[in-house]
Amino acid sequence: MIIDIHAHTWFATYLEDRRSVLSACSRHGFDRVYISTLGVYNPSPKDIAAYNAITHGFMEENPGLIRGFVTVDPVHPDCLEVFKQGIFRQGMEGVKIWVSCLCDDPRVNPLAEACIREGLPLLIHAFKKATGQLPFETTGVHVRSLALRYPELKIIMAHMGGDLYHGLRCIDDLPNVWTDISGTLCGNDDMQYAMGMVGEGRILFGTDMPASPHAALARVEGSGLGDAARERIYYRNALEILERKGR
Amino acid sequence: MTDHNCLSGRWPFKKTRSHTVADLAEIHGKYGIATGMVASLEAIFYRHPFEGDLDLSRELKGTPYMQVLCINPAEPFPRKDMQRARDNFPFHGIRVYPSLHGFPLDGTMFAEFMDLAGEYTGNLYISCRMNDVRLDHLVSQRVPGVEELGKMLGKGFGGNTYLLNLKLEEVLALKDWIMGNENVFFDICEIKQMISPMEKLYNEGVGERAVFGSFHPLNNFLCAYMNFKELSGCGTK
Repeated sequence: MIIDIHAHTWFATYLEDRRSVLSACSRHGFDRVYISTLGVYNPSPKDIAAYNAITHGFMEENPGLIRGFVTVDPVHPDCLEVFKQGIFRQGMEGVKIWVSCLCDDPRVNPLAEACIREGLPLLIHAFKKATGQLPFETTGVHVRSLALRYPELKIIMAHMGGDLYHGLRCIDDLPNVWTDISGTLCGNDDMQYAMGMVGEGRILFGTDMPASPHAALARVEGSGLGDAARERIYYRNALEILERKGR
Repeated sequence: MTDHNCLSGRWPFKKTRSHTVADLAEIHGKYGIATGMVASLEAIFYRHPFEGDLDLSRELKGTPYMQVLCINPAEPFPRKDMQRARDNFPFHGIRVYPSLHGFPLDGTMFAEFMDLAGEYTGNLYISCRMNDVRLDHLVSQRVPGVEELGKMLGKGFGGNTYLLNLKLEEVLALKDWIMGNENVFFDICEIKQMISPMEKLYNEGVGERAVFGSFHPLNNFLCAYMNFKELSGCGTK
């Protein structure tokens, strides 16, 4: 079984993205893909509603295969309403936050508390960059701050924090933080380092589609991992984190 | 099949677990790669890269691999190192690293260098980037832009030019320059920016110029190999 915990459709290209995601699912045997729809860095409430409607539509047309993480912008006053709409009415299974504010911004707190109450994971884009860092782009340091503030919150630090040698050092000792391997980076030693830092129990398979899934697949299949580790990364860890404990 | 983008040696910015020629041969053997154009990863960072190339030549002796020299055109008298190499060991290409060595590709200096290199080899490899610039550590790369690469291709090297580590959008932007010269190629190791990037290249008519390059030991070999398999499935080599 393969669960892709982190993929997208983009607002501007969502029709083509849906086609290519489904094609990739068929080609690579993905059993579930968790989609969040994104667009501009600082969306309006109307944008957010449109993004989540796209995700929901994709889910409805492909039940079981395509599942959703509700895109929430914590700086919006209605972010908890967006959360409720996404989780209770649109049937999504987690929350995605992106780059409009750092994840340890106090405005994230109500969302974090809601996720804890409902037993939902919070997927946080995190990317430490040597160049091109966005002004409110979370890094592993911010993930750590949030994780310590809310030790009951299930956090997914996306992309292994971008520069994994930075990101994984921030979360290696935090049992409530998982990390996904999504993205196009595929350093030869990435998985060996990640396994050493956080262990096979806290690594999640993700692709960041509509980017190429080859990087993520290569990380799992081309790193000399044993069958047990591959299973954990491909789906067992995802099933654990998606389980709605805490309701 | 030839791996046109493979290196031996340690990368100074992280632990490089698979860095020897023997490691390279093992991964190539696993995936049926017959040979490779091998460069020294360490020579890039040497004050005199030739020292690293000399070491590599000893490691490659008796193997099916072909050596590619590391030359910094901005350093004095590159002819001396090319001649020194010719006098001491066989080599089959010259590889340059503008993103790390910081020289431009579109000026007189590099134009003259291409002419010089053409006296010694028929294969010029241009490493357009090493790791993703977002991961730069201690050293900030200057990745040549499409316009700069286009001007360089417009002047032209007399033999085969291999553009290494280009991203999909860069290949597409350079399509006319690439297709305008039958001896210009690019490798596939960094073509990952959409779900089926090889199909895109094939449909754009530029897939025939793609060559296999793994960027081992820096990149996961299987990622490039999966790209290659996808391209093969499109009906091109």
